[in-house]
Amino acid sequence: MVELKLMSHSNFETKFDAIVVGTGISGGWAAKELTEKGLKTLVLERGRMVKHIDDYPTMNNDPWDYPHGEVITAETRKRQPKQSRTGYTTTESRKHFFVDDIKHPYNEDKRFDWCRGYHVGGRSLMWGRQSYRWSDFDFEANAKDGIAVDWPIRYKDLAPWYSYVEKHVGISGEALGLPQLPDSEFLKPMELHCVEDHLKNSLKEKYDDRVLTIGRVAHITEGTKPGAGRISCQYRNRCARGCPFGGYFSSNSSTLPMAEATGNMTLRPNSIVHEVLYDPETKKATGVRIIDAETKETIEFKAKVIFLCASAVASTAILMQSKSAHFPNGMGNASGELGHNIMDHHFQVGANGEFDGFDDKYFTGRRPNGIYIPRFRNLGGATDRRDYIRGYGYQGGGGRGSWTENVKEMAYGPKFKEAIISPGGWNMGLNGFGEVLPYHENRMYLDYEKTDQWGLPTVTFDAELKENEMLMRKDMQQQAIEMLENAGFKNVYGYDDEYKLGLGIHEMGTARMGRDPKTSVLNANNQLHEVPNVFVTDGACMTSAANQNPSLTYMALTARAAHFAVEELKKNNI
Amino acid sequence: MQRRTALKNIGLSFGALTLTPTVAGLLQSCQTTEAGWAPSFLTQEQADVIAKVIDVMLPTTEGMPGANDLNLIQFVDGYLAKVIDTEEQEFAKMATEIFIGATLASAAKENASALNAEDMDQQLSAFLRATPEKQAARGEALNDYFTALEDGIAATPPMEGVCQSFLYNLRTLAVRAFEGNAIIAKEHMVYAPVPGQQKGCVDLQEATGGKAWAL
Repeated sequence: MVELKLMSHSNFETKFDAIVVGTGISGGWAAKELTEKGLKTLVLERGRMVKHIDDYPTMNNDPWDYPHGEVITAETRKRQPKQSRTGYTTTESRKHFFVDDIKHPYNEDKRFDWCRGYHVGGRSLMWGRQSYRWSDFDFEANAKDGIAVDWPIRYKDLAPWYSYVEKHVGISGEALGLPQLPDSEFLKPMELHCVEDHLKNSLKEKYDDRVLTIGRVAHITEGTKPGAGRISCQYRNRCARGCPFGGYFSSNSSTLPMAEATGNMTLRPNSIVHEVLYDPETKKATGVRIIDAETKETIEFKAKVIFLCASAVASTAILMQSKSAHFPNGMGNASGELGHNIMDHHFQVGANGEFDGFDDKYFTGRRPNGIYIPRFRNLGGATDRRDYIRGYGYQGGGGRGSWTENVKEMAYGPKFKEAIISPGGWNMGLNGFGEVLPYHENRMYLDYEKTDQWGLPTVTFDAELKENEMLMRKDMQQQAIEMLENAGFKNVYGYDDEYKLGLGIHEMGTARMGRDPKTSVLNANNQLHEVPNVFVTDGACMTSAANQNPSLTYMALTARAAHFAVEELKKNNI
Repeated sequence: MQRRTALKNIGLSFGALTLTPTVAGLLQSCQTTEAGWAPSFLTQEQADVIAKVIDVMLPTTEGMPGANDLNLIQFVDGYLAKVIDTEEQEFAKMATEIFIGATLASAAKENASALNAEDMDQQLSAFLRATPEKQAARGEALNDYFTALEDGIAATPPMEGVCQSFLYNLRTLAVRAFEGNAIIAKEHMVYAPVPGQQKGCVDLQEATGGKAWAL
């Protein structure tokens, strides 16, 4: 790949056209778009450098390369107790991409799982890669339900930008023409496993309101995509360690190399942005203040336009710390909504079942993807519910397990051993992903008493699920059980595991977009209502959460805002 | 309340901490016997007993190595030492001792070193092949014990419940070690580190000759 131009500690530029804070999904897109439009752009990342391929030390490891296998060890749980709450993120092959909770503490008035990585590429390296467009069912939802505030945009505003980013990213999936889940610019879909296809046919036969499709996922399934030599997915399913093939989209493999290729990007890792600087005369931001994570030196950088893409919580924390006489409660916080309305997707509720049959069938490849059952609730007419608003979709999948428990003779011994190396019975799981509503009282705030190693305030979470989500969960479990049973699955059992906000790793909403500066932080172009040359395009900007995975929408919003910013700069409007 | 639930689950979870089908492995998977290896969690006596148990679970068969050939006891000991948490470790220690005591009694022997494969087979059969009713009753007795502990009531661990839980957990751990062993994965299952393609529903025989994919 192209060597990224890294800033050395001495003799560096401090004036740029644009500054991008963060290098994850959103920051990568801001960097790419702004540099391609000719802006000299400084990209700041609080964590260490991670170069595509070079810095994926575990990408080819097998389980036996670790003394205890691909597990979370007791030592890891000690250093990463919160990061380990998912049960899968901090295994031996991935733990280095998640923060050390002791070094990077946060506080919980109520439990909140804030799972993140501090390195170039951010969570674009470890994300779930599920990529779904939102629709007007989502953008109109708040207005229709009369809750929170209305989105200042509609699907038509974002549709061309979805297309724009999808052509670069590569989204594999199946076109369905559903109004609640618009189709992307698809690469060929991955294939359904036998039991998944069986469930799909059963849904078709027994329901007229729901369909099963293969997950829409940011993987190349045909041809190549631009960046650092990205080729087709090799079906290794080792994505979150970094992919040497660039088979899935990440900042490291795609947007950052493209930004670098323009010659306009300066990337500076180890740079903790904690304040946006403001000039009350011009009423614009003038730059940012950083602490060098290694030297602890404070440095100011100047630019005409600033993109905060540090993640919902971190971008919000930066604005909260950007206090001045003009902004006593944090920059852009005249509405008092900054830090409020925090959302996630609630999940870990659904059902599993076993299937008798297809014994002579199997699959090839470790498909890094599952199935998707798009939302079928509260879409009008017979789909409307009295007990809750909004909806959910299911992700999940079917495969063959290990040995079967039910044969007594096989409990141990030679036959048991033989069973281990043979495919077991088929099973299928459906896991609901539901919308969380924006509640003003669900919030994050800063604790200036508990500071981190750089003397910066730490984040405290105070948020919980409420009645609408709990009622939705009941339906999520019940429908999953019913669909599996109707399709002839055996031993179907529903579950509702403990879920707390944050575990979906989809934090959203803490600097929401809206039409009115009195009730929202950002406008329809992701500009702070109060400071037009500051843009926030990560999860913080979301006015509602929908039930679809949000990253694709962050990408589209970021590309759209970046193009708008460049036009406004040209017109001298910002 | 949460602590009670956690306690109740102890002994039902060690060896099955992660839900992913990803299997675990051995560092020294290619070596047969490790001269000078000493267990770090178990005592030498406990390790010797457990090695005998898992070798009856996964014996050497024609063309395929078993637990002792693969030194799986090292994985089991390392897992208990480095992966499970302190509460689970305490239970594992207690359960191992109770199991050894019960096996000695059942075999009418004095020393653990005298226990042989036959003695282990008898225990495995008594617990892993018991009727579902018997197994449920044993599980319940163990849960009652944990509930009493949580309520601060003195209680004696139920021998049968503990042995059952111990053997199931040990089996899960042994399978994890076995599946994640490089020799088993590469030579006895179908190992494809870079599959390169994905087909959703194909003939089992054509895909793998009837074997399971490793990884």
